Amino acid sequence: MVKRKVSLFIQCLVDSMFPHVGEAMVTVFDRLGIPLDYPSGQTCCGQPSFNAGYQREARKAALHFIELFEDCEDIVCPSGSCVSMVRNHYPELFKDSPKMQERARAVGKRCYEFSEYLVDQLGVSDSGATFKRKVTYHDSCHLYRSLGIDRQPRVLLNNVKGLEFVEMKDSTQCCGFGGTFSVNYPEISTALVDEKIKNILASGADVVCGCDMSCLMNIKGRLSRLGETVEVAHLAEILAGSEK
Amino acid sequence: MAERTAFLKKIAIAIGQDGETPRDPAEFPAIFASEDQAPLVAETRHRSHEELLQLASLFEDVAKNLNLTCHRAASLKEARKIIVKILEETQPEFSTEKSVMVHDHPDLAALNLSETLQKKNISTYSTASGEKDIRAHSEKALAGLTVPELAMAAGAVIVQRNLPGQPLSTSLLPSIHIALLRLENIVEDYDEFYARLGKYPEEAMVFISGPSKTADIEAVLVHGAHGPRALHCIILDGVK
Amino acid sequence: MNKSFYRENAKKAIADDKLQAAIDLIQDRLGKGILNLWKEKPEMDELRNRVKAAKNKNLKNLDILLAQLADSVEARGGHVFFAETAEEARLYTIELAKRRHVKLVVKGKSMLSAEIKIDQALVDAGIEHWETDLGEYLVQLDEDIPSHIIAPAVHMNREHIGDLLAKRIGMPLSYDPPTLTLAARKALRRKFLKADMGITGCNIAIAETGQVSLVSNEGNIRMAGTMPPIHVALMGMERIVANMQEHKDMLQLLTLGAAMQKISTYVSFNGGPVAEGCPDGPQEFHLIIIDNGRSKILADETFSEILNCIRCGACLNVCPVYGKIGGHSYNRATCSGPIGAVIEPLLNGINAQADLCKGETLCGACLKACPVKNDIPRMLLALREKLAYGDEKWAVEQQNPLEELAFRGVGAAMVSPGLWHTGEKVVRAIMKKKPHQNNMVTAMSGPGRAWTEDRDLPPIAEKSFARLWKEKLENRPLPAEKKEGSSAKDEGEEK
Repeated sequence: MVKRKVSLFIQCLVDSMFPHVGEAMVTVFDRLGIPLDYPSGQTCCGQPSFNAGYQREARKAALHFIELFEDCEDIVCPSGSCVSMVRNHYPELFKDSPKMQERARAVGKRCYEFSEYLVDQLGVSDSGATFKRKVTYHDSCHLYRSLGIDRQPRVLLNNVKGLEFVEMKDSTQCCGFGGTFSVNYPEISTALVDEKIKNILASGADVVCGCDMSCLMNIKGRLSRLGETVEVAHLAEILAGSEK
Repeated sequence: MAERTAFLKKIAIAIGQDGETPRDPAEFPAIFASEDQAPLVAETRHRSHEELLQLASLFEDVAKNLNLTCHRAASLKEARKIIVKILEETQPEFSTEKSVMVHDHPDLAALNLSETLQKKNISTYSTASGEKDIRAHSEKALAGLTVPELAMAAGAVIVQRNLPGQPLSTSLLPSIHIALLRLENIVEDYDEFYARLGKYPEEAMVFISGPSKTADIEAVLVHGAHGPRALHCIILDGVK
Repeated sequence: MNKSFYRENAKKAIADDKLQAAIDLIQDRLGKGILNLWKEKPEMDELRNRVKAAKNKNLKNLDILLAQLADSVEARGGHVFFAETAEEARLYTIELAKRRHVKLVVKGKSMLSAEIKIDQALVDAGIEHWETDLGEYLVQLDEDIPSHIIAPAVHMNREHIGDLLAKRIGMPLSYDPPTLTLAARKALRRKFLKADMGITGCNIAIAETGQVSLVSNEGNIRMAGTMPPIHVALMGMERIVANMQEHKDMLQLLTLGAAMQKISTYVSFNGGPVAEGCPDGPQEFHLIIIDNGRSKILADETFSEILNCIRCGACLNVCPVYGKIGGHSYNRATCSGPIGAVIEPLLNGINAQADLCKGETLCGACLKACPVKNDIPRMLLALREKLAYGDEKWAVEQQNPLEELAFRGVGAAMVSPGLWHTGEKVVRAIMKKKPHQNNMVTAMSGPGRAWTEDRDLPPIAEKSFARLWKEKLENRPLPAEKKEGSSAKDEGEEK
């Protein structure tokens, strides 16, 4: 299989707060022999503005993204919500300009979420990872509902050496982040993340995994405040794991 | 009339019409058109006795979960026995006396109920046009007896149309409802049901699929809300 | 952060264990049920698409359908009144009631009747009225409002109901649902048989046959539409199908979405006064077709989709936010849940109902559950955009000019990598000074303050990924290069 070059669309959150997730992605792609690059002008896909209703700002961010990434071969991102933004919402942001809309669609077609890329595009189910822990998985809303991705992360997790996988109850229920919702309606947000954590703890796992750092940041932040010891890991971090 | 014109004009403009002249439904038959149901209707009328018996079984299976009690009768005579038994075994709710409201229908007339029931101290009242005090009797009645002309097995549904001598209240006011259902009037599913229903002219009709019920208190299911608290369907399954 | 009704009541609801348990029950049973149904029965997709297509066609021809409906009803001797506003609908109803010396009204469950506030008008006119759906009846006795479209009394437990009925209708104290239901059956039967007028809503009107159809399991709607001499049916103008084939399709979606039923216990069709000599009612039939802001929604292609709603309540049953805050938190609006979050701002003011369209996570469960595939998240985003910038057509005042400025600032950073990374440095510096635990900030300032009330916040990393790439990753030795002789481990990290 000809290995297309992957351009990393790293997500603003990963760039600023969780760069090790990005490093983990590099490790995994290196192990699989995939050539990588990283368009350094990237900032943010505009989703935070979009969800808060500030479409004009989102549109500017989208334009910047499209200009930066449209000549890339394949674009891979560790965040389902960002990929959903590009694929599902960029075209509608440019509905008044057919030419831009076309460019948006073209970029969207080559923009993939990390687990989706590995399983569907590269045909990988065993990423060669080792991670000897009991792991459960949270289905992020945009990943699960807007992109229809739930099988792929599980395929990858189930092929990690030493990993014991357990499903949690209501894995697809929203964790309560919702962007600015988490700071504008904090009591509701907390109630939702508490329910998510209840289900995580009930699963018996000692690590909760996901494919979107916004959800994981939310869950991790609350776990920490509650003094719980369950760890939080992005799928890339688990797949980057070797004998430990 | 003026308010109708203004109202519809506003809508017409909202959907991008100029709204100057009200659009006449007669000029837009395509909006109301639907597929011809005649072939499906014909199919349902050409079923064998065995096929109909299968539908009756399906009706009964579905009815179980709806607390709809089913009975089989090979003949009207057997049906009468079942009706009498139901009435004997059911306690009156709205009166100290037992009575039954009977629709004006040849099948029910053929049952000759009133004599038999009188012996058991159960009064019979007909809902035929012209009868007196139908409403007053219905309010007190233990049972209402009707003959649905159509039933759907997949939902255990029977239909009742508001016809002369067959008021809808007969299946609503009395404490329980007993329906006499001929095998050949049972169809399988929604598609067949609506096909057979066709275009009916009456102003009122009701589909019924079980005794009335509610789960409004802590999601606990209770039968007997505001309609009959029990529904019995007697399926006449003898070969015609 | 201003405290709002929505947030205040959400907080109360979250702390109410009994309410949480009651809503959990409904969501577990019905919410999961409908999602599973759509997943496991792909043939349902065909049905849903067919209904959606028919609805689109019907909205585009609504004037024609309503004309046909009115003609058919009038041909039978029924009366049709087109009410542009809630006030007109109320006036017509009250004046009719007065002309006919109506003293007692029984109501079949109708959200539209709540929307047009007919109850207060009846009270003001000195007319006794009773809700007859058991849940609505209990809510009325409790002098409260419903908290769910299909299960109005979901927020009341049996103890509360038992005490309520003992007090209000004098029954011996009981907490047994069947006993309580039987008492309500007796009490309401008296009202049904005495009532001078029945007021119902309309689930689906059929243009071709000239009828309104209504679903119920209790039989109260049959009672209200059959026993009193006058039947008034209130109909939202969009709740119409062209013919019986379309009715067949929509009915299935309605009963599935509402209660996972193949069909409700009763589906009643009413379209005019009964024939001469019929012992039942109604002798008079009045259909009131109501606009009350719907035509404005119809005219706006961003929002006209919401007029497809069949009011089944499925969205409430899957919404995680509704699941926590319950129906009363939505500013006590007629409709709660995801449908309420869209329709209430459109009918009652987007600024006034801002919390409704901003107070959810856009998780998308409602879209997945909706039998007619209404894209509620899309419409919520559109409402948020109007609040973000203001909107003339919908008379929306910009909600928070300072917030717009902030997002403009962030927006500028989003198109300028230099500014972006400078911003990261600034925030990193600010966060460094804040209290920490577990390597996370426990008390943040600015917009982060609400976050750190209940959660810790990871700090901005020492080096951004962009910097790491430049400094070490871009020119990293690849595994193929490392193979010769090197024993270096993979550069993987566990966390």
